[in-house]
Amino acid sequence: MTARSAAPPTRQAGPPATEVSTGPTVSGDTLRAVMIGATAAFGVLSVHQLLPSLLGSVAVALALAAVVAVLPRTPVPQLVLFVGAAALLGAEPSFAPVVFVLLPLAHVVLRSSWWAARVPRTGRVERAVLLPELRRAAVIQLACQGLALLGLAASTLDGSGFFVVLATAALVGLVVLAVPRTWWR
Amino acid sequence: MTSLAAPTRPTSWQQTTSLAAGVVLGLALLVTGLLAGRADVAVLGAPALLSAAWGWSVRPRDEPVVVTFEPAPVTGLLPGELRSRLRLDVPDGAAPVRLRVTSPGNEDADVTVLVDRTRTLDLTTHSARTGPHRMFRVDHITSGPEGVVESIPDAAQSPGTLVLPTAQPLASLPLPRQLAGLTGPHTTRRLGDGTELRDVHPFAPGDRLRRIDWRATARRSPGLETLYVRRTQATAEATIVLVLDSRDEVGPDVTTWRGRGPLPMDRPTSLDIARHAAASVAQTALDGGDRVGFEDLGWVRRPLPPAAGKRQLERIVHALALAHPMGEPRRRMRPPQIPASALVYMFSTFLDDESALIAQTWRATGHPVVAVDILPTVDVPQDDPGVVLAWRITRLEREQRLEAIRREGVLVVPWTPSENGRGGARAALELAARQQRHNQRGTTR
Repeated sequence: MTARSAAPPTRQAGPPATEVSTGPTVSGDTLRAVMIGATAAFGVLSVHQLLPSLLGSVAVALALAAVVAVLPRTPVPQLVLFVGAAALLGAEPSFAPVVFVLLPLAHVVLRSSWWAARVPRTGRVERAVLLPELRRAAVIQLACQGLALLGLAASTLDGSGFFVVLATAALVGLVVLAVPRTWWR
Repeated sequence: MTSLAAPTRPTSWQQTTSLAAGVVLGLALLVTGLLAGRADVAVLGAPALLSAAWGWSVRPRDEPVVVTFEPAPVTGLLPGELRSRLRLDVPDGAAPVRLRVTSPGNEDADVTVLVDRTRTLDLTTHSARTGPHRMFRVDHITSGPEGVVESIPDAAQSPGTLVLPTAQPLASLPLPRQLAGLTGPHTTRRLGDGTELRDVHPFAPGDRLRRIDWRATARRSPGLETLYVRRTQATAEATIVLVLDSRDEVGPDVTTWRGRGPLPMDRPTSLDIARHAAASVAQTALDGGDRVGFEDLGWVRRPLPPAAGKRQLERIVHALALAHPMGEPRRRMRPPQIPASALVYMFSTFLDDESALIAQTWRATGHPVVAVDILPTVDVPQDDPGVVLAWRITRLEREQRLEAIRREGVLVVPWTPSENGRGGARAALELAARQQRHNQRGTTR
């Protein structure tokens, strides 16, 4: 046990709160705002492929965003993304170009909901924590956009057999890469 | 810098549901897209799959996360602030570590920081309290890349800290009626070695030759038939005994007096006020060269006998900081023994009769007693009539108790801070000291 001398506070020491010395931080509210915004944008863009009414799309998107805001834990964001992606099935062209925008939005929804589920509203996250996250996200998005280009080529170009084979191989390779080995051992 | 706390046990890693959910979402979208012949739907599963694949491939493997506390520099601390330093060691590479720092009476801090192998963080909490403190509990969890694995949540407790009371300077203190010893800072009425002249007197056996006043001798006895010496008043020291009533500790909120709810950390309790007050009296007396002892009413043990010097101040301050209520106090059969001619400072809330009875007993045996009222300013919830009535009864009983000991000649001083240098306990003690000097002028000590 150490001993230290403490002078009595001359006045009430303000609102008592524990302080931690950190670098620049982002609040939990900011992370939630990003999550809600990304979910709403994803919902509007995807549902609008199914519903011609923009107002209806916005209403559904806001409902999805509200669900994620209330329950940001697994598997709610994943289910919301699946519902949004399923709405793309109603799109007229065989490959909706809006996917190029939906890909980064889906990634932001997944990662921001992960953070929102762990960081309380009053919590803080150092910006230095989010920087490696953004770098990884950029690399992943590069690969995703390449896959989307392959898919676009396979779906729309004439004589696209080569692209179909290439896209299928890429997707199978992705599955083999992603599924942990322990799952089938 | 040596670590004060033993490091927490090494944590291992566990998969999160995010990994499974990401893979399942990716596979579900792939299958849906392939079955529907829609590449766009299939591609939408790619971010979840790639994210999971990346996180799983670079996940940390079985290296420990170690959290330890280190002594923090105490420079730059504001009054009421306590600080500790947290050291984090995480596995290879940088990893985010989520910390929930809990400190009694303070709001929790929830922060996620990036730790690149090793990092130290300063934790600061606010407290107006003294005595033993368990300052921080830190719950921590470390995440792997993309959140696919997390360490098992663990907690670390900061080592105990003893917050010592701080002495406030006091101008002058009342003194005992009788001073003891042959040396000291106070002038007595007795003859002896000192600096204040008492009289010029014919030389008598026992007088020292160097005390002969040759000028007075030449003036009064030009023929040197009689030698005259300058006699001085002796010096002596005062003996002061600090008596702390640590049998109870009450905060400003009366609803916590029955033990319901924790005592607030941002406002001092009665025991905190007593510690600061007793330390102030001890320092003033010891700085003046007097002897100070310490007695704890709440614990029947060997008291600190009166002594002088800086070491004695350290002993008293530590004893004050360690004093705390220990269960149901035992009733004393008789008051603690006080050295003869000692002045007693009793620090008590006077919420029961025992401390008042002990003060009256000492007063009756001739000891001057100063009763320092350490009850903090009380907050009474006006919306609860039962509590209001209970406090009213308690307050009246306490006032009667204090009035009774006042009538016995005990000086009652409420320990309140002075405002703009006026009022407060400091002024009350100074006034009492002045009145005492005025009343005792001409009497023998």
